[in-house]
Amino acid sequence: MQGDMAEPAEIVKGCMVIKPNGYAVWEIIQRELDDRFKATNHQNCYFPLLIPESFLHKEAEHVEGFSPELAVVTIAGGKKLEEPYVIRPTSETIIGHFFSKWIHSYRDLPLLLNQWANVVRWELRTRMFLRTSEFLWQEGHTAHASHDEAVEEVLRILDLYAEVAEDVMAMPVIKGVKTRAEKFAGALRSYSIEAMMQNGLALQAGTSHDLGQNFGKAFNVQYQTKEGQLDYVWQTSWGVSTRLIGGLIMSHSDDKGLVLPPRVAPVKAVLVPIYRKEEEKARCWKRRTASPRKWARRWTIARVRRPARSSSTGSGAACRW
Amino acid sequence: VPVVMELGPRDLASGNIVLKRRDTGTKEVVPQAEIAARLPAALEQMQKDLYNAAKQRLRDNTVVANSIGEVESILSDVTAEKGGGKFVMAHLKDDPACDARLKEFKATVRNIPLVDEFDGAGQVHCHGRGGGPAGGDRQGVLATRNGFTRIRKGLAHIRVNPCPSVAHNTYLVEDMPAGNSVRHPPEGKILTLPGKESGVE
Repeated sequence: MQGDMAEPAEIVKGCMVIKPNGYAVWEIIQRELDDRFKATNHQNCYFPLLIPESFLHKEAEHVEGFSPELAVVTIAGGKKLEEPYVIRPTSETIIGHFFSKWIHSYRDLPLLLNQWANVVRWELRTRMFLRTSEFLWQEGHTAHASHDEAVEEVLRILDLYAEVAEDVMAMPVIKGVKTRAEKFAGALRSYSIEAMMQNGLALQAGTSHDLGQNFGKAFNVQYQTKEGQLDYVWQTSWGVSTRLIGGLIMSHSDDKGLVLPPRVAPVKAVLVPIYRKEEEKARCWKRRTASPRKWARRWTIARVRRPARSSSTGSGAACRW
Repeated sequence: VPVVMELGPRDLASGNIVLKRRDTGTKEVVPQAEIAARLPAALEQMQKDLYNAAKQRLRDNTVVANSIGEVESILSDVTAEKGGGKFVMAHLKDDPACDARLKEFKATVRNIPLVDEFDGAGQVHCHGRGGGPAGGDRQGVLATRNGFTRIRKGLAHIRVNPCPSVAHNTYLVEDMPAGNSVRHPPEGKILTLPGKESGVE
C-alpha cells in the first residue's frame, strides 16, 4: 500500500486496517469537513451501531436496496435475540425513529445533525479505501419544514463536498443528479460528486440525498405547521467516507508512489541534512536542529517535522522522504 | 511529503537551501533567509499545479456524444489496451431502461451534471466529432434502438468501463494489463492502490 497508509485486515473479510499515515490524512479531511458543517449550523451527535431489523422494513425501497449488504446480530450475551439487530449500513431509520420523538412543531425545525461513525456493508468485491465492508464516514441527517428548504440543504452540502474535494484534495469533481436507477434507496433524488482517477476510472466521491417525506412517513415524523396543521417533515441525508482517501491516492500518485497535495499532507515539509563526512554531519545537525523551530514560528501553513536522528543517513534520507 | 528541504555542506557554505517538490521533482535553490516565504509559496504552487493537472486530465478525457451510435463507438474505442476510461457526455432520458441500455456497453451512468461546463464552446475535445466546439442545440439526439427517444434536459454523464469483462467496473484496476498506460503520467505502477496483492478480498 502506498505511503504505508493501510493494509488489508485479512483475518476479517473485506476489512482494512488504516495505519497512522492513512489515519492522519483522514483526520485532516475530517477537520476540513467538520469545520464547514459547524459553520453551516450543523451539530454532531451519535446514534447506536445496532438497529432493530424491523426498522429497515419500514421504508420499502430502503430495505430492498440494503438487504443484500446487511450484517445481522442474532445472538447476544449467549442468547438468541427476539429481534435481530442489523449493524448500521447507514442510519436514516434509527435517526428517523428519534426524529419522531424530538420533532413536534415547526419551532423544532430545521434540525441539522451529523454523526462521525463506522458502517458495515457486506461487499463481495472489496478494494482498499474504495470499497471495504466496514468503513468510516460522516452521515448528515436533517429535517425541514418545506421541500424547498430541504433541497437548499442538499445542494449546500453538495457544494461543501465539492469545495473540500477541489480546494483541499485538489481533486476536481462534477456535481450532478443521480439517475433514478442509481439513486439512494428511499430517496426522492440523489446528488453526487464524481471524480476521474488518473487511469480514467470514475469515482463517486460523495452523495447528498433529498429524501422527500419518505422517511418522515415511514417513521411518522410529524410536526405542527405554523398554520396549526400536521405535516410530515422533509428530510435530507448526505455522506462522504474514507473512500475519499482512495480518490486522493488515485488522483495524484505517480510511479514513485504516493503524492499528497500539501493541504492534506500531515507532514508538509521535511528538512534533510546531506553529508558525507562526520564533521559535515555535525555541522548539518547543528544548523538543522537550530533552524526548524525558528522557521516554523514564522510559517503559517507549514509544519516541520524533525525525523528521528537514527533514520537520517546522508542522501538516502532525502530519497525516503 | 510534498516538499523536501535539503541542506548539505555546499548549502551551508553558500547560505542557500534546496527545495525539492515531490510531484515534479524540481529543485529550487533559495537563500536560507527567504525560506519562510518560499516554502509556503512552493506548497501553494504544488497544490494548484496538482489541481490543474487533474482538471486538465478530466477535460482531456471527457467527450461529447450526440447519438447512441457515437456513445457506442466511443466505448468500443475505449478499451483497457488503449488506456482506460472516459467520461462521455450525452443526452439521456432518466429512465432505468436507459441505464440498462448503457450497461450493455459496459458503461455506468454517473450523474446528470448541474453545470454543463464540458459542453461549452471550445472546452471539450469532441473526439467523436473532430474536435469542434460542441455548441448548444443538440436536442433530440440520443436515439435508440429500443425506443427511448425522449430527451431529458441536461446531460447524463456516463462512465466508460475499460474492463469489458467485468460488471462491477469502477474498482477493477488490476484487471488492466501491467504497464498499461495511463495518460498522466505515461507509465508506471501508479495503479497499485487496489492491486491484487494489496486488495482486500
